[in-house]
Amino acid sequence: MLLSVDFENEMPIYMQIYEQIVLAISNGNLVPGEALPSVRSLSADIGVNIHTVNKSYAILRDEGYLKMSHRSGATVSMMMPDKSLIIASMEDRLRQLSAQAAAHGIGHHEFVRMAENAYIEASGKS
Amino acid sequence: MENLSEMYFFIFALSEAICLATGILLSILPHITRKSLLFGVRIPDAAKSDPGVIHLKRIYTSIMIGATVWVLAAGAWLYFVRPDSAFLLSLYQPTILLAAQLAVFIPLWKKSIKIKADNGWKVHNIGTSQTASASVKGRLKEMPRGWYVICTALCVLAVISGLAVYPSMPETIVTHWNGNMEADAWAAKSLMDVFFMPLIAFGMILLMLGSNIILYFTKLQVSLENPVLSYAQHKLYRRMMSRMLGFIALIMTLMFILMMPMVLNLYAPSTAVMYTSIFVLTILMIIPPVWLSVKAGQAGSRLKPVLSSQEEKEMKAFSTLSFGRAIDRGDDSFWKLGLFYYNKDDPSLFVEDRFGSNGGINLAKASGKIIVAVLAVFVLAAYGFSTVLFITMM
Repeated sequence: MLLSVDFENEMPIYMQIYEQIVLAISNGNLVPGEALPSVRSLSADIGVNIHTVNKSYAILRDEGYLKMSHRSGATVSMMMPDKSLIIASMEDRLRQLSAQAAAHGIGHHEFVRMAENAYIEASGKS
Repeated sequence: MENLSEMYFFIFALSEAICLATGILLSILPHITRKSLLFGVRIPDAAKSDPGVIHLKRIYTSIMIGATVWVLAAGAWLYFVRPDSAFLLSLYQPTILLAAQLAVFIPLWKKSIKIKADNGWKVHNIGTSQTASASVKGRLKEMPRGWYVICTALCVLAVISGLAVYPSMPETIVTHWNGNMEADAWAAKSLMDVFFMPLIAFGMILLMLGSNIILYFTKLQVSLENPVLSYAQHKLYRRMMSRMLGFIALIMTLMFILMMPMVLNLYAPSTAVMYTSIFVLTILMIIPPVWLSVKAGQAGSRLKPVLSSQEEKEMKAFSTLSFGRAIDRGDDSFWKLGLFYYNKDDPSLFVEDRFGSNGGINLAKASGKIIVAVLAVFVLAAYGFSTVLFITMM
């Protein structure tokens, strides 16, 4: 799977790595149990500081996407933690997005359509 | 002293041949290397047909052709004036060509930066990683090892054969022949004579193997326009490079093992046989790298690997990704003079070179500085020593 990071983008590099790994897990490019490169080799490949990659991996581990072990390094979790934990924070973000949409005059149906397209793209399913 | 002048002529001819080959390769280099790099400066793929770009490449090629002709002519003149300068020539002719290339490269690098700025060309500065091959262990697993195994087996066979004939060798053997292939030194035989050549050959094998391993450790500089294809090309290129290095290891092993019958006094070849075989083996060692550079392009940029369906999917997905505003700088700022890589944040020690298919070393790392210093000392010492030696021989 190809991970790419844009150094000139305003989004911080650790965020870019985080988002791409989450996207890959959602659309099946990374399967449960699959090994990710070590912090050291990923940072060497991309050309960023080790702490940057460490930060991404730490967040991914805290949110349940990755399991870290001394022997096998970072692997994609076999089982995600319970939905209820993520649903609350998602509803917060959805509320923000909806507010932005409504404030800009984006209609109900258009907003739902955007959400559908985004889900199809992220999950790789139609 | 006829055979001495034969030797001088042979060295001179070999040196001219190597210079010709090197000169030709150096002259056409910008036209066969990666199009997205213009004398060490990253330009967008679309800019490769810009007349300014083509003009700079033509300037380089004409100057290098001129330099090659000059070096060949000067070498010939020096040889006819003093045939015994042949050894000195073989040492400095290629060096002068490489120095000429450096002298031409740096002004052209400055002009390339200016062209890029004048045209407002922007290149994305992207870091990529192919997660499956990112682990070093994974990379080394793909390295073809067969050649090195064969070479080692040959060394072992040579030692066994040597041990087998050792008892039937005379007690006193010839240890040195002069330029006329006449024996001029003798010594008592020892088991070391059996191991000598195979050990040197094995040293060469280890050297090639080491280079091959370093190749697999090198951090890739993938094409920013199409990283998926670029990765596939890199994998294929590394395989091809490995086989080439293995082939060269085999030629070198053969070269040393074929000298064993002479060392063991089983047979002494004529000068003609000696020089012809050295010439042939040297040509055999030069042709593969040249062929590989031309066929594969820089780091495999001309190869057309077969992509897996997963890779095809990723290629499509990558082209739809949008990146934020691209800035002019890219990673040019890390390449000083377009030649030397200096990046404190990059943990890699070995990176791909921007000119030619060698590796570059990250000079911001302490280990990088040490390696470069040691290499520089070695090269300078070798040149100094050889120069003194050849001058005293004249």
